[in-house]
Amino acid sequence: MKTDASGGASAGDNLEDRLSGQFAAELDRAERDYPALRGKLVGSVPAARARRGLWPRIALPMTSAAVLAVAVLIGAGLLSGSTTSPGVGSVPSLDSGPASSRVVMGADGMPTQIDGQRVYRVTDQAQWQNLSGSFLLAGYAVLAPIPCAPPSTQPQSSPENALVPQCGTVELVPKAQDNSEYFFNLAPSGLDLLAGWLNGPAVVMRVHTHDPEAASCSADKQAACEAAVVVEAVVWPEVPAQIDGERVYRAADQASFPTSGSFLLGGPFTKPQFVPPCPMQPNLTAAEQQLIPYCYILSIDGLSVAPESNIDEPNGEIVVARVHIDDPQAAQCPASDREQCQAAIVVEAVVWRGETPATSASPTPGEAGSPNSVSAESAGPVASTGSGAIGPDGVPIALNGATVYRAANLPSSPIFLLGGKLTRDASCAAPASPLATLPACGYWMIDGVKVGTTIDLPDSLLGQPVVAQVEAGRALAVCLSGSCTQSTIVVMAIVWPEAAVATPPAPPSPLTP
Amino acid sequence: MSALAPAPDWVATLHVHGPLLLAAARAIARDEAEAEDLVQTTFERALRAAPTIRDPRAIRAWLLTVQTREALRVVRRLRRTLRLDPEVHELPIGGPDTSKSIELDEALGRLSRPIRAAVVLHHMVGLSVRETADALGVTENTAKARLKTGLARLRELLDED
Repeated sequence: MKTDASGGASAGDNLEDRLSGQFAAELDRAERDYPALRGKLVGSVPAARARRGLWPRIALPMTSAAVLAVAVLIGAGLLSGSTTSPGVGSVPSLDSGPASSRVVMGADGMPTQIDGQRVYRVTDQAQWQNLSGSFLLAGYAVLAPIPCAPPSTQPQSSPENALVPQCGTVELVPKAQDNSEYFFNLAPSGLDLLAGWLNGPAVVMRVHTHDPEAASCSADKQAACEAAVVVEAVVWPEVPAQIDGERVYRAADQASFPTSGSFLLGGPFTKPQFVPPCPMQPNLTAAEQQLIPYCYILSIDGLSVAPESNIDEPNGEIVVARVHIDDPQAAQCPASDREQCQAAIVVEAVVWRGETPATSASPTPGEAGSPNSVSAESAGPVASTGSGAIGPDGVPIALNGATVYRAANLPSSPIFLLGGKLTRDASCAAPASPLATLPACGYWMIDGVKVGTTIDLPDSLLGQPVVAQVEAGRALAVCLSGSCTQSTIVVMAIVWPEAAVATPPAPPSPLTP
Repeated sequence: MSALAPAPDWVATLHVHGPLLLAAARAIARDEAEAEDLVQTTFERALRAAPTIRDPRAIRAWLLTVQTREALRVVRRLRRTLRLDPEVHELPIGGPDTSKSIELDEALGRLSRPIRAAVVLHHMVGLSVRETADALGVTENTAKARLKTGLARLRELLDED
């Protein structure tokens, strides 16, 4: 099939034709199998639930480059949101709307009450499903990348479309680790409000069921429409509503963004969870390159910001930034892209920066005055450098400002610090080599969590408190019924006690073009 | 600018490429579950990246690039964490010459994954050398070297049989 590149390929044999023919047969098989595979991705909650085993959606571990980046950030003490930015020097007066609210935290790291109003959990569905009016609901919003049914089969504009998820929807799950059996899809209507919170920290939303539009749904969709959970607002973590009397706009206000002058935009500041290969984009003007977000896209409240923005690397913290749209450079964009250039959000400066919301806050029962005060860092004193306060288990609560998580509060992020006593799981035989550990066997455990390892953990650490940099992800395992995948946590390095284990050099990143 | 809801036509486009992605994933990963996971991961990334894809003509190669790099990344991690058991192959059934098909499939299975990926993408899927190099994240010269090595090794293995 191809002869232009293989160098040593002999034109005299038919190997390349055989390869081509082999793939044609493979493609035929895939054509036959794909509809069934596609069918698993489209449909109702039960179908989506069934899909979980096949499509575990725990984010795959980040690239080794990201590991290095995190290590660098930890080393530099930047992970605690300690960075400052232009405009942060002065302390502006804030009006965060419900800032005066009393937030009562639960053991799961999410509020149980806000302003005296109960915050329901996802798993309390029997209690909240038939409530009339709005109520508060807590959980983790996770993007469910369910490919859509063919557009021709979908009603284009109907109450069903607004209330019953069709595709690419958002699930609300009760735990940070995305392996819960319990979840449900949120109604498409109102999902824009969650744009900045997807796959991030826990949120409390004001929601309602029995939307008035449900009455207009067709009879066969009536029940689904009535049951649909519609998001009205994210009420926690809080975002300042005003700074020095100036309104802070949110993503949901995009239609009313001022088109002249600057304004304040607030919300979680995020970066991509993965960096796809970014093909070169030739023939772009300088103005397009400056204004149109491409590839490594930073977002505030889920809205992409222009590449020329004056903003530091984000870490999921809540920020308020002074921004503008309709940048003067937009006039230099070609007509085909001018509208996009004009809509580009250019950050002039970050004027307020909150702490990084914990992706799974440590249990801090009791009252807290603000959402930030219940982040994992609030579990105890945080050292600015080196190891911080030691917890009752003999393990630091934080290292260089980065939270050290325990088994009870594992975060949803793919890379984090896990602390606890290093032990061996005695429930199954030890493998021949520690490096060949099948995580299901749980040869090693940290704080009772079974872990695989990429490094040779010395026996001298057994029974000792350690802090490991770990990656949560997915590994192949050989199951009785054939190959399967499973979630796992893999130790990449022991970072405390210092120099306990030498860390192997990170391999090159395959994702970086 | 919210990336919440990918355009329906974008999703439809992805489905058009679904069988090709599945076939390529099977050929490279040689594991049904991993192949399906690779397609899923590729879809997931493509859905999120929809607003950034500006040249629809490049989608096929882009999707294969995402999938191949993921396939190589997965095996690199696995090599560090797990000892894998011998593979069990699934083969197209009822081809014109099943024994030869099995023979070739087994030979492909004995190539290292990076070299097999190169062979699959170039000689089987039909990507150009440049596209293959991009997908593998290597230079064109490296891709050519892998292709040359792959074909030579295949010939050697087929001759042995």
